[in-house]
Amino acid sequence: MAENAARKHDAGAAAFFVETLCQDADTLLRFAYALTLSDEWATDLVYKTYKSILPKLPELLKKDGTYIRQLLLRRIWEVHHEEAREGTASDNVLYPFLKLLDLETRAALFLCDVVGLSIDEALEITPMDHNDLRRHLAAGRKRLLDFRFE
Amino acid sequence: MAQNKAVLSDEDFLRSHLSDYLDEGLSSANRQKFDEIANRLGMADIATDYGIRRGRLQIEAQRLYLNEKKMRAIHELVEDDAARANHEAAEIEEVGMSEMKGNAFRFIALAAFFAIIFGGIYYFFKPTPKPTFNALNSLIYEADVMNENSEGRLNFPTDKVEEVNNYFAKLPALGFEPKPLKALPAEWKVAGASLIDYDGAKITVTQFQNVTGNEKQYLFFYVGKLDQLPKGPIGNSNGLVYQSYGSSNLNIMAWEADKNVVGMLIGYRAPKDLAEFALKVIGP
Repeated sequence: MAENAARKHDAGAAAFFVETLCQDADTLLRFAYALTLSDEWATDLVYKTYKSILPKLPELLKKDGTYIRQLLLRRIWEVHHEEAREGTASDNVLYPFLKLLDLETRAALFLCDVVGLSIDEALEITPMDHNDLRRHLAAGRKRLLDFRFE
Repeated sequence: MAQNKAVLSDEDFLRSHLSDYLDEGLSSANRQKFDEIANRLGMADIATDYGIRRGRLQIEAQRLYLNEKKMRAIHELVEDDAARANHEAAEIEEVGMSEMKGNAFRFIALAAFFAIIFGGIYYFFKPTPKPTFNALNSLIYEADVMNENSEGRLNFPTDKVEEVNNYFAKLPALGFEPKPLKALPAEWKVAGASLIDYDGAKITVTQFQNVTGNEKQYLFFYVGKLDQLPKGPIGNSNGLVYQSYGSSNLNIMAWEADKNVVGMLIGYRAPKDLAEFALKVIGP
């Protein structure tokens, strides 16, 4: 499978994928964890997201880093909704903090407070009304202010 | 219902604008509204508390990363083993390109010339260095965490003032000279020191402990200017001019310890008392 995929991309595109697109892999993993509440599914979601953008690789070569990161975050949101699933247990210290929040609240909180996006940038990732996003963000921050990490 | 949906409640407005407030990205009208709501709801410390909690969330999130095996699985979407080997070999070859050697002499001569010219210009007209981290929130957070448990966070355990001064004096590439400690007031002792690195920004920290109890205070130094901190009440303790702040449980006083060096003392005592302590331990 890897060999077949490799043959479809020239060395320049492959290097771009490895050196530029994969710079955002850890950021995507953190957002993916907020969506799935599972280490395993988050990793799987990141993999599927990268796989899904392979057909766009040639056109991405001309895009800047901000555009690429937004695209990857939007894709991870979309891919998650194609097969939405949430973990019911995890050793991760973030799990007890996140498990009481709904999906949109977790997404809004991570996009703004972990990834560092503005409200407008976060709205490009999650199709929500502006005030709905702010309400979800407020709910997530309320939980953040009340919660004490172990 | 439609009206409710169109308008944020006061609490939602407050919480959803916290990062903009901290980053000073609010319009003056929204900032005024934020302050008015925070005061009316008795949540005047919410921005500082949020800054600390957000920092903790980011630290916990950063513990999530893809290990080498998982990263390689993603790379294999476009690279097989042979392609990856070629890629790595090309990178190594690029670094060692012998062509560079041929041009090295001319390059060095040219670079030295421009370095002298631009270095001179920069020296006289350089902008004030700005911390690459949010000093107030980050250092309140550091103090808060060390106060709970400093084990593993202080690299240099010592109770001797002289050893702290020597430790900081020998740190390489610090970028500034932290003011040396003088003799401490009788009721205080040194309880360790450390160097914090925020993405290249170096911060020294000394922990003080009250000999009659478990109370602790933290003294930080970093490169920056006092006016790069949010405006706070100004005090003057026998010539030491400082700004003060408060979080939910700690007080903070900050002052310009030297040219382009900010000192910050964080503890439970009132800012005036912290300033007197700083004056005794560091001097004006």
